[in-house]
Amino acid sequence: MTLNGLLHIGSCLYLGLVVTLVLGILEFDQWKGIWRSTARRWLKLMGALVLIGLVAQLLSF
Amino acid sequence: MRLLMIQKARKFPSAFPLLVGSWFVPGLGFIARRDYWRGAAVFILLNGTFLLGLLLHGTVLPAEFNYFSPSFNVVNLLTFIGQMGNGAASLFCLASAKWKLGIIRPVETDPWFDLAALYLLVSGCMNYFCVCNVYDRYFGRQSEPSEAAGGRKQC
Repeated sequence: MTLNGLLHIGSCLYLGLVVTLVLGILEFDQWKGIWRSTARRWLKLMGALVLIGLVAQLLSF
Repeated sequence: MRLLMIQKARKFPSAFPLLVGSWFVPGLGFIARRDYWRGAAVFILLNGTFLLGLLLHGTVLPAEFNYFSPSFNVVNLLTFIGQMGNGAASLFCLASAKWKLGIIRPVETDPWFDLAALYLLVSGCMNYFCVCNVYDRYFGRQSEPSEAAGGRKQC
């Protein structure tokens, strides 16, 4: 059970990173720009997911 | 540099072979245009994600296209279309299932099967983005000198 949960959380982090990194690679020509855009998008995505998770948790009480 | 890329782009009169190659193998379109680092990065990221999906006992399942069939499911259909974005790998999965090659061993009852399908879906859908970017970069708007000369990239 714990392994399943950890796998899903890890997958969320990894797949988010893949999506944002590929978008950065397609958009920028320099690694600096790629990493900066990736970090910004990834943090935004994770923030939104945490927010959704919190709302879902609150509504489930 | 950008002008050089445009001159190279003119060697390919049609975008079709490059786009098909880019769909078939992620990153191939960039490598064919000597954009090696971008092609290699896309190839490793997308095929690595696809491989992780396979390691989680997933595979590309053919969807039911018949609208009147009881097993017709829009979500499965869209998932299948998304997963087919990674051309060679997904076709290999379908061939393995059809001819029972035994190389890929999916377990549909595995609790990780849906998660694995998501890995394959992300890999395929991101390759659609890459194919569109290949077209834009070498044949479409981004290949025009006026835009290339101007500053770019505001996210």
